[in-house]
Amino acid sequence: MIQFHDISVANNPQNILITGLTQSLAQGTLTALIGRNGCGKSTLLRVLAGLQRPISGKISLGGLNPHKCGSADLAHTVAVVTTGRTDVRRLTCMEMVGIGRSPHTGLFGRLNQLDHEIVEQAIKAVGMQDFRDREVVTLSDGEARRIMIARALAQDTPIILLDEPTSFLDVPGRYDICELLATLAHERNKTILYSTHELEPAMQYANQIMLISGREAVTLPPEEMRLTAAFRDLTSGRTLAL
Amino acid sequence: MRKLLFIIPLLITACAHRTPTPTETAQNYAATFYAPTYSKNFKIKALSDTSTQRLLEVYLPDTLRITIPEGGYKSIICLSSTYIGYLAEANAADRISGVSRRDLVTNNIVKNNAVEVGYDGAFDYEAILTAKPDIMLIYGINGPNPIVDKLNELGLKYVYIHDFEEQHPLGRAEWLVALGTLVGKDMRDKFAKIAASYRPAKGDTKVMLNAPYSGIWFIPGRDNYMSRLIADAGGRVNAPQPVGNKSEPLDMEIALPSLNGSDIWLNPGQVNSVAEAKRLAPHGKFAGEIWNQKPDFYESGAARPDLVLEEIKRIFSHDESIPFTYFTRLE
Amino acid sequence: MKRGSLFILLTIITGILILIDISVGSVSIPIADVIGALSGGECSVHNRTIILDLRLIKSITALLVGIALGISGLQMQTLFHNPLAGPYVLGLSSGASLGVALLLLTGMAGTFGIAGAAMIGAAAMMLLLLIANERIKDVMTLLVLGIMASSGISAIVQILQYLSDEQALKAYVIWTMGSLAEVTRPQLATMTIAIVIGVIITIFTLKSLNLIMMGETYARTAGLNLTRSRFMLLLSTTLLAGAVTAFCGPIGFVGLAVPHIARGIFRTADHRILIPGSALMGAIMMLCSDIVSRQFLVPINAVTSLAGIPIVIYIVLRK
Repeated sequence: MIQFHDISVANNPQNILITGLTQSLAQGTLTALIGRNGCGKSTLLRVLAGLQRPISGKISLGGLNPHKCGSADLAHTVAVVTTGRTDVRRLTCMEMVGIGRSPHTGLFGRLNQLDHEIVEQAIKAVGMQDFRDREVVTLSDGEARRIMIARALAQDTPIILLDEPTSFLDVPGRYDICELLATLAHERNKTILYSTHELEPAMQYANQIMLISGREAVTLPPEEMRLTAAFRDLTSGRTLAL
Repeated sequence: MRKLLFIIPLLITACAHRTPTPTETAQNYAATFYAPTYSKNFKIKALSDTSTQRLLEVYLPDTLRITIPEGGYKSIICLSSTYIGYLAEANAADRISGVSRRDLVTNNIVKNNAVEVGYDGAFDYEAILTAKPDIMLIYGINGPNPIVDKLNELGLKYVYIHDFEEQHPLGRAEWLVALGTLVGKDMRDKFAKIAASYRPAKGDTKVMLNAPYSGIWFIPGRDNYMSRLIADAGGRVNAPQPVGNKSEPLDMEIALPSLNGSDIWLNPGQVNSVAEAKRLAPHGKFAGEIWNQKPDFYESGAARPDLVLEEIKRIFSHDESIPFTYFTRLE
Repeated sequence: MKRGSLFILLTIITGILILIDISVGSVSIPIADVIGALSGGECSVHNRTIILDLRLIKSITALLVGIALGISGLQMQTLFHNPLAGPYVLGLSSGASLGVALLLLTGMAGTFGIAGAAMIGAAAMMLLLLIANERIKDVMTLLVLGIMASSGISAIVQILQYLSDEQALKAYVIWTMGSLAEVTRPQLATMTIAIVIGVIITIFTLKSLNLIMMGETYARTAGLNLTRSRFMLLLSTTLLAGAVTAFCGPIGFVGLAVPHIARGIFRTADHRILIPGSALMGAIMMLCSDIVSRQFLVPINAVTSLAGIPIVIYIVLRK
């Protein structure tokens, strides 16, 4: 599970994006992080992943503080999927997913029988088993995104963080990914937090929505979130003053 | 992790390892056979006043001592043209078994007999070994020559002949005695004769030296070898000269008027005609004679500064009655 | 062709090239004598000296230089995500050339000799970079700093060249042309040790190179300690490329071209294959260059450049 204690994040000291966030995300749940562009969603995810320090507050990822533990321990706890693609020439899908096993492999990164099985499962879970030997640079954006999710899956961590995993996907694709994330959370007991601009799939599949508005974060189940003023503000179409 | 860094200083020390130069013992050679008059950079010692066993001592770049075998060395590799000149003057040209570049050699005996061994950066060690030298005459720059480690490893004997560090023409020619000793010949009298026939003259011929390169005109110092020859021949370098013997760049604004006001333009470099020379200094208005040195200047000319001086005097007096060996007038 | 067979083929080619390299030189030596000298059998004394004291040392040197430059070139290309990087991109050769320039052009540090001066220069440069590495998060910043430092040092060397006399200048320029011929046995031993240590360190970085390829975020979240990995890569490159430069002068182009050749031949991004692949291809390229350099008496740097350029163009256009 993920626990925030009075977290404040910012990209530069003059512009604090989120303050005083205290929240718990239970294990086995899928949480969607929404908010305007620039409200701090990506920053929050980076802080959670241990890539950036919070201005204040403490984080606990299943008991681990990402800013005080070693990178090896962190890699066993959190897997990340970023926006954009990672194009490495001549790398096949299989190899890309295999790299996800790095925290578990030895000096040379060799995959044993178990590693291969996990990689196989991960690729199947995202529906990309036919793309095994294709080079990642030849994939469409959506396919590339799925492979990176498979990679995170193969890393076999209790927590997965995704930054806008559904961007670049077509409508069915978006729902597919959200359903996949929900299945992973519920059936494999993972804690999954992902940021998104697509509200409808989130409303359908997420256990709760975390909305960042002003400098605060509000976390509620979807039906309750729909009723809040902040949420209606987001979807009102009236934010531009004329 | 940081501890791995200590590898580096160990490596540096290891890299600094030089294959040691075998040194010859000198304590037995108590008597001085020849202490040069004009040069300070070598001495010839003997076992005793009556012995014919000699030792050559050179002081540049470091002190090195070489014993002389019976009859002198028989197979010599010369890395510089001047060494060929000295040995030829000592009638030992046939002992030269290797040179840097054969096409730059003037002496016919050497040209026909010697093997080409290359020069800095492209030494042909195989050719050197094939020439089977019993000694190599080499020079170093600001310190030992980088090839000596390899020479030591191959067991090849060598001696530094730094005649070029002498700036007085007779100081340079005096190395004739040193190299004569190497081949078992006594060149003291010969050198005395050369020194005696080196006759400086008085005069006021204005000479411009060298040519600009990439817009920079280098002028040698007042004590430089060429400057001395010019002064002793009755001329003077017609440009402000630095002290000592190093060359320094001269501003074109001073160099060009110097050129224009000179009587003779000497050694403009790798050119074959007046037109080519003038192209090197396109804004100059020089109207006098242009003379260039010939390769033999560095070869036999090194041992015979008296002849070189006479030719320079003839250049100044425009006396072309006898053919020139060391210079040629550009057309 | 399967990768395993490819490695075997390339190793055999390397072995053949070594034999050719030993058999070629300005003195013609019959093959029988070559084999005799190598195996301790029948061979004239003169030829034996040439083969064992000159050619064998030179060939082993070429082999090691190729391996070292191939590996360090690939390391730099991956570390900086830059296909144009080479072993000297961070200024190792500039540092070395400053050391040599100070020695040859001003006579300082006379006791160290050229190799020592070059190694001091390269090591000093690396030390600066390692200090910078501790403070800098972004690898691109490190790259820019390295390039700037490198250029700055080259400018200083240029000034030294301008102020020095003809002979010293020539000696320095000759050093920059590179030469495999002046290496003695003790020097070869030192170089071997340095390169072996460098290769051992590289072995520990194979996995991290693959992760670095994925970008900083993925490398970090996969558990890689980036600062430590960079440290090891920099140390390894200094040992590999520094040792080469110290004893043979700056040999250009091999480190830049060989990783691309290896990628073209092995068709993979996996460094566990590319690193040994680059080592092999580097050896092959250096041996070929040495053979050509010996035949035509041209400085080794000229050959590696002329050889490298068309190869890289061919590989790049083939895609």
